[in-house]
Amino acid sequence: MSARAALALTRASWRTAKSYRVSFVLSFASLLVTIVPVYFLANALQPFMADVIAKEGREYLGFVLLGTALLTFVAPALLSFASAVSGGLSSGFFEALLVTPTSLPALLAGQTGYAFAWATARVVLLMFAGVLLGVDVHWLRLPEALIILVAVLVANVGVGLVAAALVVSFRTNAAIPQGMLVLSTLLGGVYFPTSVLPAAVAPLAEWLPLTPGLRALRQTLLLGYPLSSVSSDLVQLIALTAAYAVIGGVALRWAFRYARRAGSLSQY
Amino acid sequence: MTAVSVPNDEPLIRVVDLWKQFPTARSLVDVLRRPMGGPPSPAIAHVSLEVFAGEFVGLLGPNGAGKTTLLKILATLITPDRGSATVAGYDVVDEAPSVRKMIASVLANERSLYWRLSARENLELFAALLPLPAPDTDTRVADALDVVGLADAGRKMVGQFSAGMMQRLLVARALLGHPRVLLLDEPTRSLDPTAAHAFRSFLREELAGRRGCAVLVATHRSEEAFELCDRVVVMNRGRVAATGSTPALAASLLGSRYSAWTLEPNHSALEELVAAGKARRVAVRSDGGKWWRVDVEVDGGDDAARAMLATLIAAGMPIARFERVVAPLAEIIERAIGRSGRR
Repeated sequence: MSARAALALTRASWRTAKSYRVSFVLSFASLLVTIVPVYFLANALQPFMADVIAKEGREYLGFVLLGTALLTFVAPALLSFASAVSGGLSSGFFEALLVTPTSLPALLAGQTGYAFAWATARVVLLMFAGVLLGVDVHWLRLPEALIILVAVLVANVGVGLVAAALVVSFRTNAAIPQGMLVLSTLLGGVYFPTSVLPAAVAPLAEWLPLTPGLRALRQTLLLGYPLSSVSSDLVQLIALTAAYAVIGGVALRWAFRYARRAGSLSQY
Repeated sequence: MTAVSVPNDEPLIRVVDLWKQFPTARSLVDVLRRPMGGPPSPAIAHVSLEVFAGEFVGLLGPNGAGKTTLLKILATLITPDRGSATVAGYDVVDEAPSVRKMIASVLANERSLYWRLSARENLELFAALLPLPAPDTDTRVADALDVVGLADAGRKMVGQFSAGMMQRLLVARALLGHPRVLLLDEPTRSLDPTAAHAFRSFLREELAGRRGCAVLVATHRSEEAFELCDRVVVMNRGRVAATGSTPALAASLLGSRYSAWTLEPNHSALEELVAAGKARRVAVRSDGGKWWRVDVEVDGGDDAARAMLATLIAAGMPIARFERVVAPLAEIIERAIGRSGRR
């Protein structure tokens, strides 16, 4: 029943999004429009960036494209849980869901499923456009890349769950997901490798799951390395994933128990 | 999971000595001034009640009386501090997942629907959240829409619905899983009087009559208390102030109330009955012409009222009409609270 419930909720969000036809079409179109300037900019910067990115790829376009793609997945992982809980609590929809026999993980998966599906569609389109523009991707390494992607997602979902827990308990996410997203964008190595970061902030970047994740992903997909060659980044990523996922799960569990005691689970 | 079989003489809802006190938010200054704070008043205190299959029980009381808190405890959204509450034999705290298979609630408002989806799509979504076999979904959805009179509007977007249609859709959503217990919070709040009357008839016939649900309904409307409910529980400040059938409560708290249309509102026979304490005059109103409506309370029910009427007619008081009137709900609540001594 849980998978069916999650799918039904995802489908409802999809139908809602589809009903806003113009905005739906424009969001796809904007993605294509964005990639064109990135292509020209990346080509212009290639001579300067080639040495700097050498450990993670040969072409700057591919480097930026993978950074953007992973960030596209990280955003819903961080933002969608708190946003779904907050919106659902204020409309009463979440209350109506909680009275059904469906488990909480299935409800949360269903309420955020569309955001992840949408991110997947955008990333597929982005990668397709990148390949058309000449980005060299080692597709045989896709299974390894998917393992890295899942680890990065789970780690960021952990942070997203902490934010959702704060919303459930105190009606605020304390800007944690937004802060994490900004830090990931600036320090996670999306547009430039973390090796160029100033010494003062470099250690902070290593606490972001995106940092080792992107390094490992680029080496796998752009340079064709096997997972064994990116083991140090992988170990770091898995440690961060385990830590954030456990913290997120415990926080959410505690938050629901607290909210049921404090009466803050209901509509406000 | 197999549902616990509850014998017919066992209540589907059983609440015993329930207590809930919410933590109160205090300012830093207040905490520094009074570190221990004052004792916060409980939202629910020593509440006990039972609701049987096929029974409609109303929760009455002023705002903040604890009605919604009680419904939300039964819906497993709030954990009680003390006491116990069971639904179809399942404890709302320890066996919450099983409780959720037995209940349905109409606690949230129409914003809890997907306005950009059709009524049918909304119901299909919630059917997927219930333990229903997938092939049965279409039939259940069609039945639910039919029962609430929305069969023709199934493909219409909910955003185009009137408030009454949305309210009916919320009930249809609650009926999808064939619940044994239904929790309703002011189910006719956004309906006009005609629609509300029709809706009450539907609730009464469908839920209690055909489906044999145990229904607990929080309401401020006297029509709901009188037309829908077999019994009412008057709550105040979290405590039960009175309980019983609405007419019986009205009779015991206010006396039975009757209206007499007469040309002589101050007739000596009536004055004598009032002076002897056999009747209490509540109100005298002119109908704008020569007739007056005199409202009186009589202890002893219809027999006493019949005797009083016979006395008045025998004394020559001109009476064109004499009838029992429904006591205003606000007055019943006020008297119940006053009698319980916790105003």
